[in-house]
Amino acid sequence: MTEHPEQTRTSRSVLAWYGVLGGPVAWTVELLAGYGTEEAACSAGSTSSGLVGNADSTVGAITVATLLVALGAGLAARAIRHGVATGELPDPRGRVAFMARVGMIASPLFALAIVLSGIPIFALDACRT
Amino acid sequence: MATATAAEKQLERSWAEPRGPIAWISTVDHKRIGIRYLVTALAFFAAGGAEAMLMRAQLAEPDNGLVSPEMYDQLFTMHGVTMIFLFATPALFGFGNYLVPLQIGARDMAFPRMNALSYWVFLGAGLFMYSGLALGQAPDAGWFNYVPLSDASHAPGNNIDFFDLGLIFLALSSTAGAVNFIVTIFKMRAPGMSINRLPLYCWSILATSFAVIFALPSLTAANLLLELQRKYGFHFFDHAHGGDALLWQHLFWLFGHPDVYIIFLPAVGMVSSILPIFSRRPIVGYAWVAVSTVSLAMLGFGVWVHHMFATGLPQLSMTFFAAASMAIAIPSGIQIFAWISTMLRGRPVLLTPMLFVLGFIATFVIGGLSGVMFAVVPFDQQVTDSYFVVAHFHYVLFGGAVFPILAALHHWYPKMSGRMYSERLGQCSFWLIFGGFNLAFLPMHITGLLGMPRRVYTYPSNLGWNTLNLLSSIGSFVLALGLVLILVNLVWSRTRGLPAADDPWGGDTLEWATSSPPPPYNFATIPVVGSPHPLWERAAPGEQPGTPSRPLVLASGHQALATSVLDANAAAVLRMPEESSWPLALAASALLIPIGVITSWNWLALAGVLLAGASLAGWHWRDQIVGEDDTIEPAPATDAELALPSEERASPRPNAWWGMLLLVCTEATLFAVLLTSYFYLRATSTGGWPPDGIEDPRLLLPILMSLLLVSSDIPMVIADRRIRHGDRTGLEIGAAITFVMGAGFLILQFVEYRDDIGKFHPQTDAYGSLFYTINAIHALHVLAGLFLIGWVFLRAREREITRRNSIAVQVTSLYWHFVHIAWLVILVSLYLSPHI
Repeated sequence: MTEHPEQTRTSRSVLAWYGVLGGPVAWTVELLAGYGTEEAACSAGSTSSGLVGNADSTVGAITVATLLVALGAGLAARAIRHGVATGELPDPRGRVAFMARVGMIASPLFALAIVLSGIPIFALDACRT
Repeated sequence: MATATAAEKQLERSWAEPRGPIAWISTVDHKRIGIRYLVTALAFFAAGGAEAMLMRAQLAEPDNGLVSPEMYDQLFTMHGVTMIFLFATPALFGFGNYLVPLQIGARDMAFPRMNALSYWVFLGAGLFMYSGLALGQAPDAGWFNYVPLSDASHAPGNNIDFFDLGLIFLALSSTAGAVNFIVTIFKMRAPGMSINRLPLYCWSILATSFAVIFALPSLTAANLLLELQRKYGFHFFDHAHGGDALLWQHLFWLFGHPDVYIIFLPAVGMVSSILPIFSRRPIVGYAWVAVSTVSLAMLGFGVWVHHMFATGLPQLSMTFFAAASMAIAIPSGIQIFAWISTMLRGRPVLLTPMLFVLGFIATFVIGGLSGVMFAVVPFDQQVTDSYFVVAHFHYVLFGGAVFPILAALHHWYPKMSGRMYSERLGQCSFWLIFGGFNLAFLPMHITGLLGMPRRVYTYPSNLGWNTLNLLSSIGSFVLALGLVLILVNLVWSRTRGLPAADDPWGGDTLEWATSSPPPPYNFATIPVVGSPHPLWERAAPGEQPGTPSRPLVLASGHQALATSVLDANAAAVLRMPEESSWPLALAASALLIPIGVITSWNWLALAGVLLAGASLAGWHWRDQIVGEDDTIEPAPATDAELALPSEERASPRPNAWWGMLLLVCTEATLFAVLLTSYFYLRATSTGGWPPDGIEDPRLLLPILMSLLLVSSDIPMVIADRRIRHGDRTGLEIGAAITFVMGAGFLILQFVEYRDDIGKFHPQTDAYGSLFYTINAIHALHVLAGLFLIGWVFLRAREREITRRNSIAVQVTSLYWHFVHIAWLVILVSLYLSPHI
């Protein structure tokens, strides 16, 4: 079954935007969800509200999941760049190649930021002041 | 050539503004507004500099009594407020105003009248805050205004109210300016200027503007909550009633650290524009620099807690922000290496702008290195609130923003004034400023490490700080001398300088393709762009770079070209608004509101609201309801230069729709901040939630209200669709039904509060304060939506909304979607979550 050209274009566009935005969005989620979980678990009212059970494992899971999303974005950007380089993807103005390059630079940067904030999870206990 | 001259005459007639005092206040020309921003910002810079001089004179020797402690508090607070809010950001907005349309080949900003409004509001806010100083009641709790120091019990005068209300008012200006920049860069670029060809300065303005959109609501929320607490006895930051003083710090720094990048990014954009020109080659790593710029804006949001490392937060919480603070050094480093590589691979010419750029690189690297030291939590805790911090942020902010601003002043002075400055005076001023700056601030690192705390008005003589302080004071006066020399140079050159050529530096971007100073319409023909360096493209014989062989003139009126967001395909010809006094009237009216609040003259605040409403009505009466553009004809896509090959589908969205979308984004952020504050206080509450004695919210009436509000969206959507088919009756009926349903929502909400207020009220505790504040702010949004819908209805009755002219309906519909989605989030957060 052949894919419709419009669908192909849409899926490539989604892939390109995932490449560009995947890393930053993953880092944003990791920061807000990870820090939010830690704050909610360690705040004075956390016992009564019962917001979070095990902060360590929750933060760890958030870190791993978002890291995978960021790395996936890098791969998506690489695939788009390969498509442009082989002529498979039309790119008369070089804009798609630019987006791919942006993704290939941004994704490792934000993946590194996620890794940096993930390392202390193994060394520090949650809620220790 | 004869055709071009005729077209230029026609353009001159269409775009030239009349002279005289009325024309002076009603201008909407982005160049005049940009220069006005710059002059005003430099005036505030002089005021902030005078405050700094007084402080340094006071600290030049121990046990000095030149100024009183109370005056010193006001001086350091106003110095910080002035330099951050009234100089750095507005000066960079001024350059943006002047340069962005020129660099992207546009004839004006997307919303020229809103641009004028931004300026007048900025001026009003600045005068409002400085009137506090004139009255001896200037803000005095530091530029970050920490609670409880700034609450009513510790600061009973009006000092803090000048801070809160002034900054809330100023936020209107900054938000409007940011929206304007984003829509201008998205939609007004010259054909062919796809995003990979956008000048790096415009990338930096784009990133900055998005940072403003998402950061500023946090500051506005913080100031609003504090003012409610001070004036009306609410309890957001009051621990005794369930509030938390740390909430202020979170809200302030959630804005405050991104603001460092809001100031820094346009400055580095200037450097990325100036340095390649004076290195005689394109910048190395264009894509890397663009990505770094945007990454810095994003990572800047993830480091706010590093200002709070000494507040006793859990260690793991702090590591998130320590990690981001270290990661942020990477994009900064990428930019610095790109600049150094560009110089190494080019042929640098050391004229004044380049000297200031080099001064920037040297000082910013020092400031950046001490910044990375603050990412290390134990180090931060040792030096927090010491003079080491003062040294660090002056290296970052003076080095990172003022040096580039001074470089930019010299670089674009010939374009703005049509005159060259004196190179000899320029170089003298650079060395005075560079030497003075380092003499003033380098010793402060040591002063801080020796233990001198910041914000002390004097110190005893036996602590070993005397010589270092004296050196800092001497350095600051040398620095001031250099700045005065620049002023002398620029004022003298305005009349005595040599005439400037169109492109005196051999620049690469489009502002250098037009005359110095540019004509009111900027470009006689719409440029077509094929690279990030259009003026360095290889031109065909007999052809100017960046000029198409079949030029698009758009001379039959006050017209500009709109293009698509990604590839800048020609999309539509816009009729641009002409000069107007309504922006000034609106700003002046709105200024009555903070004046009325601070004086407790409620009648004055109410008059301000009514006059502002009347000004808005006058503004839009013969214009569009929201936004100012009017698509009058499709772009002439048959021209070969305009029909450049592109994969992008044309976007039918008008500029006003994009403007409203961005306004919705900033409003959504405001609600997100308020709701996060609610959950933050809930998490820190040691008792139940709602606190003891308050029942869980009842659900029946709120659910009925929700059904009413959500279903009111259906007739609005139908109204939007009907007018697109030319059915004005359908529009009127849909708008009327939506209005009635929205009004019904407000009536039901009033009924609910009438019952609730007897059980708990905003002054009961922090829960009550947030519950009523969030609901009241949403109700105001519903009210604003009803005004828009009512306006649409009236305009439809007047037959001024048609199938081709229905932007007002699209924009109102978008706003109404937001109003009901925001309500659903509030319903879940405030009404349902306490039951879980």
